[in-house]
Amino acid sequence: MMICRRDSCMLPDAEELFWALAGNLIIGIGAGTATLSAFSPSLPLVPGSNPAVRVGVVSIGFAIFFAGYHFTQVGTYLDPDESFTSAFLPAPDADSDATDSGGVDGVLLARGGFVVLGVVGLGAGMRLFALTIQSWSAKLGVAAGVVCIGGYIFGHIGINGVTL
Amino acid sequence: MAVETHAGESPIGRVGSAIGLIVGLAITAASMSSGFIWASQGQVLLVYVAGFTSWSGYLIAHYAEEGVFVDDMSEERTDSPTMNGADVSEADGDGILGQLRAILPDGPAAFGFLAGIAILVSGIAILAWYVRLENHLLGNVGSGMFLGGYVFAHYFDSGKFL
Repeated sequence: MMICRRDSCMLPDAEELFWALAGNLIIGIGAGTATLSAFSPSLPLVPGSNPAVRVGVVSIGFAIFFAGYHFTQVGTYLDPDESFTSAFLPAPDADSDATDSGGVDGVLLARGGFVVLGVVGLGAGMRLFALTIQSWSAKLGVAAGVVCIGGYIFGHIGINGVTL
Repeated sequence: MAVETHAGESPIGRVGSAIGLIVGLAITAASMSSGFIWASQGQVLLVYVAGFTSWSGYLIAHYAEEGVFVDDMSEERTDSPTMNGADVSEADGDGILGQLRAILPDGPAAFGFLAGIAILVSGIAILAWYVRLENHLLGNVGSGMFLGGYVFAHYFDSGKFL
């Protein structure tokens, strides 16, 4: 990997820009879907008021958001010898004992569980945020913030292995 | 893949980096403020546009600060220690709980991290208030606190703003 200084490496190369913009499009779709689903009872996907269904659809928006982020990350740092699909999909760590024995990789499972907790937490937090706006309560606003950032942290640990 | 670092960077380069960080986050803050107001009004197209530009702002800020749009976390796991000095890769043998302990900030950094989270959470509540009032401009106070709190917490978590 080449290291360069700011004065000689100011602009991103075209390929890097492509992966960023393509991921940005996916993220925009996810963020827009999550936000609209949280706020409006009929737009764009949710016909009812069942809280679990509402949170579920908002969470789908965040799952698309995470997928867009992962898309950019995988595309930007793709090993020329590896296909995009295999790099994009989760796989056990090559050093894992489970890989050698053909069993289930516990760390991979846990990280997948964290991603699920992340999108559900963000979905619930965004719904609480919308409810706070529709019927103001400071406590509800703080709860929305705590649930949102909790979901974000779980999701971020699941995807990247670090907190924020 | 070329990666910029701040090592050996000129003062002008550092100022440019700071401007990029602030401009990028300002785009994100404005997109969040207006995007949530538009969502509460059911303006579908504008919400999707705001969703797109909110992430564009983050990309600009991240590129200005780090020289890349997104971090390479496979490298991060092996090369970069966390703010508390623990190397995540060293916790591999301790299982999932050991890895979690390794990545969470502790000591003085934990206070900074929690302070950032508190600012972030307060920002969400304040943003909700101004979205309720449909005030695009003052909504930036809430979204700005949200992003500022994130940057603050991120710094105490990893030693980097983004």
